[in-house]
Amino acid sequence: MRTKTLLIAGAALALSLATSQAQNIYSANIVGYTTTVIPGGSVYSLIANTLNDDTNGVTEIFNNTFLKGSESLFIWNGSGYYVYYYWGAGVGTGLGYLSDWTDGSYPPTHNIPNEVYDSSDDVYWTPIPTSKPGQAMFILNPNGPETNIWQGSISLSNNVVIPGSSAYSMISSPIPYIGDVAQAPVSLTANFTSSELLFVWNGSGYYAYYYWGAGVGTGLGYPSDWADASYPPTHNIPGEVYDSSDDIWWTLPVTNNIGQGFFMLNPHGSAINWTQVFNNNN
Amino acid sequence: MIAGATLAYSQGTIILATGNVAFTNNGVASGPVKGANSAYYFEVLDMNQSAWTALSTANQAAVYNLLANPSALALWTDTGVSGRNSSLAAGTIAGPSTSGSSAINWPTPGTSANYGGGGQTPDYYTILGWSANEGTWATLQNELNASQSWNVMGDGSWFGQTPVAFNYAGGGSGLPTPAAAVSVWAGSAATQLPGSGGVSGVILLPIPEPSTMVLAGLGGLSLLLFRRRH
Repeated sequence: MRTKTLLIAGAALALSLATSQAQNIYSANIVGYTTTVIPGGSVYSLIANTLNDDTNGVTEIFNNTFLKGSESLFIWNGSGYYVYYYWGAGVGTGLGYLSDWTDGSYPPTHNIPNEVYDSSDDVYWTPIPTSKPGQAMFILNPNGPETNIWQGSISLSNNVVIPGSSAYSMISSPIPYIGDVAQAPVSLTANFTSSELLFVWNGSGYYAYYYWGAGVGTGLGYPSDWADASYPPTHNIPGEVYDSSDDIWWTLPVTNNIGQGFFMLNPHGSAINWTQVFNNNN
Repeated sequence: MIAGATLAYSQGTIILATGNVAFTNNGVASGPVKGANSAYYFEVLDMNQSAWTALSTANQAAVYNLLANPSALALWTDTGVSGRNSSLAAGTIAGPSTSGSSAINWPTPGTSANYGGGGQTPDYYTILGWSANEGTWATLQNELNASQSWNVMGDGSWFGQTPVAFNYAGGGSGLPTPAAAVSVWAGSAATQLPGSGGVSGVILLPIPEPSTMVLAGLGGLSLLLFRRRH
């Protein structure tokens, strides 16, 4: 049954198991597609590529009819964003540049590697942005709602490195799955200890979650081991429950959705390896 | 008091640049603005919420139509956020940024990453557009203040103003990242502020002859045409 929930997000789904053998090298991938609806009206969405597709350039991972033009992408570089602006199919490439995307940073930083200045139009054309499963990005869509169909394959085992030293990471589950982030196959908290912070975009801000450790909240009879970490306190996470003994608000389990990205803060000195393994028991 | 002062003088972030929002209409035909780079300029004007609510009903009506009520220009403040058209795509406002620019006097959510956090209040705003043959923003202000002493009259010279809208700005120092800059073209879904946004484009109309200035309900026409339905 749990397998059946894989990749289903109110989205059309097609799965097939493809295997290939060559020179005694065996690999198995699940190939298929998922869909993500991007709201329009200049609303930000925190989305993630769900499936590996060759180079994972956005020209590939966004299907041809998805982008209408004027969308902006914000891709986390470890301490800030690379900001890309899409001019429309063929605008930049028609002029001989690497892509149809320009650097949208301001004040101008022009820090995207290998961008090229176009003096005629006073813009910096960039290489094609990339985003692979496990990463995430904001998209600002000024048009009407747009639906993207992600196509490619699922890697059956993944490792996402979450850097330590209180660095922020913008990440996603490489396995597209709807379910509790603490449970397989998402398994986000498998290597957590405590004090990790999770920020989930709610459309106009973040729900902030603090992880107290495996069994801490659930051992007290609360729905999860996550508490509301917002400050100043907003207590706006749906379903959270006040624990007067400990003066904290326990939340419902955090759900991962297909095509969803989020921020993490790892307060520890060393990186956390977020490892996922998908098998037929999932 | 200190927090209030900080908010009052903070600079929220907004986005002016985007595509398919700038149009001309000469009464016969309309279409997205076209031309060489910087053939048209755009400027965002704003006022904070307390200034807006302090306006008389007559002044609230006047700031909607600066062509007919040029003295109302003094009721606005300049955000300092300016744009231009781009020859790369018709109807596009380019610059200064697609990721956000600081808008003078527009409050931020402070240490919150959520719009409206930290006691943030929205600003009211309007967007002006005009053809570059009238000059830069500094020149345009003089032209309006001097009761339409325009450089060029009639076809070939254009001016437009959007409806007045209100919304939060981004910025501040919230975590994990500050609240993202808010597009001036965004609707209420962007910040979850009821009734906010609602501007979907700016229509530039020919600057009329002086004798027809009294008929400058043209600005009002643009309001009606481009007021987004909710």
